[in-house]
Amino acid sequence: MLRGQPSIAHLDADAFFASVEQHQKPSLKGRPVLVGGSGPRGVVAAASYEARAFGVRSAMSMALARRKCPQATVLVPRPAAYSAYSAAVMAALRERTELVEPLSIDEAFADLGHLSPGPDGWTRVAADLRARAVELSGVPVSVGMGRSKLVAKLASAAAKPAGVLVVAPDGEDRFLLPLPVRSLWGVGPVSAERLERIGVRTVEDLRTQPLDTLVALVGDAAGTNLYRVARGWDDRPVTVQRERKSAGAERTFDSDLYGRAQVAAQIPAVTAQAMARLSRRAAAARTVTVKVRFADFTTVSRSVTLSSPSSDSRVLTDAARRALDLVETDAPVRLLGVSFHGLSEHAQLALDIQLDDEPDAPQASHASEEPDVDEPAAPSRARRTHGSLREQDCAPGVDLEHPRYGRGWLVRVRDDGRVAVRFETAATGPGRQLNVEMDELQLVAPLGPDGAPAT
Amino acid sequence: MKFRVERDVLADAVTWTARTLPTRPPAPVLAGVRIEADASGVIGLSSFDYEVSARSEIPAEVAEPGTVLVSGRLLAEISRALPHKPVDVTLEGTKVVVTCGASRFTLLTMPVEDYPTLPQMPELTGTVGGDALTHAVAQVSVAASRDETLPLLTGVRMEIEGERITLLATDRYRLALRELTWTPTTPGFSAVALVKARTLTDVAKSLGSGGGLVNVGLSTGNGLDLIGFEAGGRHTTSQLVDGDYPPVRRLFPDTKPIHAVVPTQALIDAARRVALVAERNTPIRLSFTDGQVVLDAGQGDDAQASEALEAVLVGEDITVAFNPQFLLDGLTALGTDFVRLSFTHPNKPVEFTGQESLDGDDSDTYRYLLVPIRFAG
Repeated sequence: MLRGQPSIAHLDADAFFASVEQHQKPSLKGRPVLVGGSGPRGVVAAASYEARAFGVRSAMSMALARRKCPQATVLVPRPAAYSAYSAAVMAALRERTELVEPLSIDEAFADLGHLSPGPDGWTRVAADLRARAVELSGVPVSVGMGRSKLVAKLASAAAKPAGVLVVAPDGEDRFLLPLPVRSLWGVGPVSAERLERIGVRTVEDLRTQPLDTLVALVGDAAGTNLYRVARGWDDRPVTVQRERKSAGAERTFDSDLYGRAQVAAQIPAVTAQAMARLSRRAAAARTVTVKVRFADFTTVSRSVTLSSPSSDSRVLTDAARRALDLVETDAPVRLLGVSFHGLSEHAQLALDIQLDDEPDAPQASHASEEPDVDEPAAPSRARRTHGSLREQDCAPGVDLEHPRYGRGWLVRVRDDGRVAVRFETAATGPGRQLNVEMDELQLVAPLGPDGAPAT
Repeated sequence: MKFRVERDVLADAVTWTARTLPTRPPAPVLAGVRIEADASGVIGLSSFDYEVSARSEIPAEVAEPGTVLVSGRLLAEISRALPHKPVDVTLEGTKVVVTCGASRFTLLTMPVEDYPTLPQMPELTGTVGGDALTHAVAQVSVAASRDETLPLLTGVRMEIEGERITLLATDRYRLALRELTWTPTTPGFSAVALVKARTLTDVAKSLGSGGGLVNVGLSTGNGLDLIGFEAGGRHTTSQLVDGDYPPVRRLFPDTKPIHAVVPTQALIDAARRVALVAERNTPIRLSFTDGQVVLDAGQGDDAQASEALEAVLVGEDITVAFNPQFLLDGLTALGTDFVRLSFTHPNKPVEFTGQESLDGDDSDTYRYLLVPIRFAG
């Protein structure tokens, strides 16, 4: 049954990581900012709207992004800060309802069906929600509302940046029909191309197609789904507990790896990183998938399934190694990923048996509840956030503190060995850049939107 | 080559010899069974896959001695299908003709000169009762890994110390240990060997089930490490698995502050029923309190089942969760009227031993150590 009111909200932060950086680094406001791996093989995890104007997109290689926008400031990701800002954004929804379904670190659905909108109607509700989220987090967000998740999500995309859009039931067709089919959930490049071949470009085109044609074109499930979404038929409820289906980590290497031994040597570290993404409610995994991306960007994935779910680092590392054995590794490798599926809160424990031919697997990292920052290949190597600054900690954007000048962020290491630091926070407004000695600087934890250190 | 043989004798021997033939032989000749007819009235049948060899000898009326190589699978199927009459086997040119009553089959031969030399059955190192071997191997091999990518753990470790053989196997989730006695040819003989669990199970079943004695030969340190088993005119050799088996005996707990005793069959039956609602990923829980154990599986919105049984508990109440199949494997392997479960902690391995009466002592000749599932919620 479709709802009668546009009471489903989709809240989506705009260029989230880049916006957080601009908020905490006021000198970057209004300027192009790229967040991602800064190494030679880095990938853009987020680009500010100023950078997007130059044609930069997320998931683009950092090298290409820099060519398109040489004046951009490139910063390394700071996951702790993003988690704190995410919590603030989500709090705006949670103040209004318990029915909040986070989709990722920067977007969520909420069911506001219990509200009775005043004379200004649902647009007022959406605008208030947006204003509150901005007030709590300090970063721009967009809000879309509709009578289904499908429409709400499309509406927030149309409202971007920093806007609201409410699509009333009687305005749904006017909104949906001109949209390109590519913007629909579940229409990837392959489906879009197949649809285009039969002349379907917009939702309006799609609606003229009979179910049989769609099923023949893209398969049973996808065809039925297309037929439904073309008509705005979506009665999925907002579900509070979105079960985590997978967790994983990927590493892009600064230079290509050659041969099985080199790739296999990276398995323990990437597996340990993936294990850190398992949470209490999904502490164990039954299936371990290894993804290998070659220098020519072809990608191969292989899986190994265990007899029962495990959270044992030896068992999981071993399974990852076996999955890698199923991949031909005769071409240079640029990326290795390990992901866990068939997650379970129960874990089959294992005997403490060390086999001679396997290298010592790293101990299980502490399982964290941190949201999955599964932006494309965001390097998630944990950075230190306390102690004296050392050369290997130096990356653009990391948080520093100086006994005299206070808090700031690392701009770059100068040729003379001194460090260029811009001393500013969200609270201070744009600050000045000074060159200071490395041994005068301490690493500090990022700040949350409230100015308190994020942990 | 020409001989006449009893149909049942031929069918049995060919079936046994051909049973280990590889489905995808590394070389075409290895799909064959070699038949050697000796003028003394003995037919030898052999198979080999470079790792495991099998040879059986049967009596026959040999008219003309000779040696041929034919498809083992086909010969086995034909000999099982023959009517109950004497079978004549004759080499005619490059073909082997099998006649039995009114049936007549012609098989192509393979080049016998290309067939590899079979390893010799190692010199006798001792004898063991067939039934005891079969039972012991079945109890231990249940815990061996079936994952070929971990070759060490697909093996059963045999530790021979004088008159005692200890068998050990683990797949990381459970560990089984079984002790049995045998008669070594040299008193104080001591050796260790790692044998593929699959091969050992097959050998123990096919050679031990006669109930007689099984001769064991072990040859290590001469380049090729080999174990051989021989009984009733048949022998099998197998290469040993290479590598250092991890030290696993230390994994059995030293102190067991809590233990429970339950009738084995009743626990098996209850576990089978409750396991019906346990999907592959979900555990079966056993909650022991004074006088009873409650089994349950399933939670939340899923199907649920529970069942209570009488049990003797010594020590504090304890709840553990297991993979249902691993639990049933161990209980079924015990073969005693009562099972003793010994605990240290809900997340630490539980030792299963057998005992003959509710209030008796447990026997430690067979121990099955099972690691629980850490149960959340």
